[in-house]
Amino acid sequence: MVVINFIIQNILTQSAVIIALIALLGLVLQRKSFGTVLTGTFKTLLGFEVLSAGSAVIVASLTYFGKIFQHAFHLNGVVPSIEAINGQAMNTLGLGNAIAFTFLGIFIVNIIIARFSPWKYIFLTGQALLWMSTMTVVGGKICGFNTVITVILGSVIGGIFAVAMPALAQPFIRKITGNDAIALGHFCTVGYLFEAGAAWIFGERGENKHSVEDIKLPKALEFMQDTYLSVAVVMVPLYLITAAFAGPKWASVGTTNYMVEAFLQAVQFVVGVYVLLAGVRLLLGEIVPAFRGIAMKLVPDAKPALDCPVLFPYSPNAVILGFVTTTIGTVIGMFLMPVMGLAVILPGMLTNFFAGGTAGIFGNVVGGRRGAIIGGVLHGLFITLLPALLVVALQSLGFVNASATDSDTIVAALMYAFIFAPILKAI
Amino acid sequence: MFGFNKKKKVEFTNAKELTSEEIENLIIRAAKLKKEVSAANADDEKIKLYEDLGTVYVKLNQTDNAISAYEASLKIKEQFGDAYNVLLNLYEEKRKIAAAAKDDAEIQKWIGKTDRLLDMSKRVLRSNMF
Repeated sequence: MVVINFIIQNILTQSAVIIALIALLGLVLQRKSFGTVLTGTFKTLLGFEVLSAGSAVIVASLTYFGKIFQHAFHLNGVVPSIEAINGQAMNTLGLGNAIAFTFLGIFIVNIIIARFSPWKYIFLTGQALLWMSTMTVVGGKICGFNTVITVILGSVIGGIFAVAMPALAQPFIRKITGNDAIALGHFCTVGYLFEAGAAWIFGERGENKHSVEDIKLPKALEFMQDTYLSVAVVMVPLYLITAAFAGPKWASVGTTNYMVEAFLQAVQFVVGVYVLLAGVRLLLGEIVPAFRGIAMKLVPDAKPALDCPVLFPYSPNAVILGFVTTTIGTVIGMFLMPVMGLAVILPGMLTNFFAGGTAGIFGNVVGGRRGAIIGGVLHGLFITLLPALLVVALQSLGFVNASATDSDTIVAALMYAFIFAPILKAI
Repeated sequence: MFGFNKKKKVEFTNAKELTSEEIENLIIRAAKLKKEVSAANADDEKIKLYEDLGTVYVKLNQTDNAISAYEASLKIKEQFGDAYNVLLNLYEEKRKIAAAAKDDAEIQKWIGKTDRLLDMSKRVLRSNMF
């Protein structure tokens, strides 16, 4: 009894152990060799610890940024980063166990729906599933649910999103790719549909519709070559400008010059994202292939929902235009949100590139050039508004200066905050 | 709405039934292209020949050979175009066959190849931006 109590209280409460056990289960179900099971389980454990280390670096940098932003502009400056939210939820807030079980639950619900319904979509983007499980667990926390209900509800909602989002995007995917072989598995689909709707209203139609692919775009976005450089290119000026306004009293630490400190803190943020994503890759490296193998065997006629770069080759100009126009929209949104009484949401370059770029393809296919341009700017505003709406709920839970990014995960969390929580209060 | 009613049907790959004469011609064409590929020096020429060879194999329903030809084309130069588009669909065809046979190693192999194609897509887009 003492041993069992020890295991329950000291080992099974550790998120790293729970996640490693899920990987172990997946590997055993696939009848992998003892050596593969052992190394796979350990790699997953290691992945969680690397993720935690990255999260700690990000939190330290964001705490500094939050402080100087507050003193510089007397406003709440929030960095949109789903990685930062995931890291903080897993570690600082101690939601790692619930997230791990919800992650597994979403897999299972996704397979059940695909197996027994006409919607055969199997969501294969592991990282996006981790973000979705994070946000549904955060939603459960907002509502004050206990862990069991949080996990069950999160699994069902996440599982439904994993099928519904590819299904909603599919008519557009057929138009973009010219066939029905693959689907889109990226939890920014609400944003894509928003851009498609905007492009339909404001874009070109019929004979007047001209694709972005017919024009030659300038190639002047060298910094986007590297993921981390693209984060740095925004974060470094952002920290420096904020530090300049805040002044040495608030922005310097010890004897280090305040501008040098701001620069180093911005670099620390990039380092944190780098480490955290390396952890995520390690963490998912064993679980996701195991899930894929199991899912594909259980649903042999599955339609795989793949990450957004699957669409880039079909419309590369639209991706670039989508990135640029979404960035313009997020910059406008940054100034507009405080006017509406919301927090300042700073532009997030990774989201602008991947979500903005993919949204550009949707805008172009529906409304041609004009649709992609106007739709892109509106998409930028839309993906700034969503995290702004979530800020109050996130900060009440103890999240530091960050909000989520991927629109579907935010919509899921907003469902909890704006629908479930008020209903529960009314009851 | 969204122009979904104006469906543009895109015929994909190998569905058509071929006459024995057409099959024979395609086999001859494949053999000729293979010789031309080994004789070619310039990368652009090789890419074009590999893609033509891939198209012929798709018509002949020789999926494995078609995949090898298109992969050879992308190995010379990573770029968007027919090789990417056709490979994405061929990998999915192979994945479905593996899933129906419940062959885990094959399922992982074809999903892994699709993943690498997606990585290539990111690389090509980024390198095209400057």
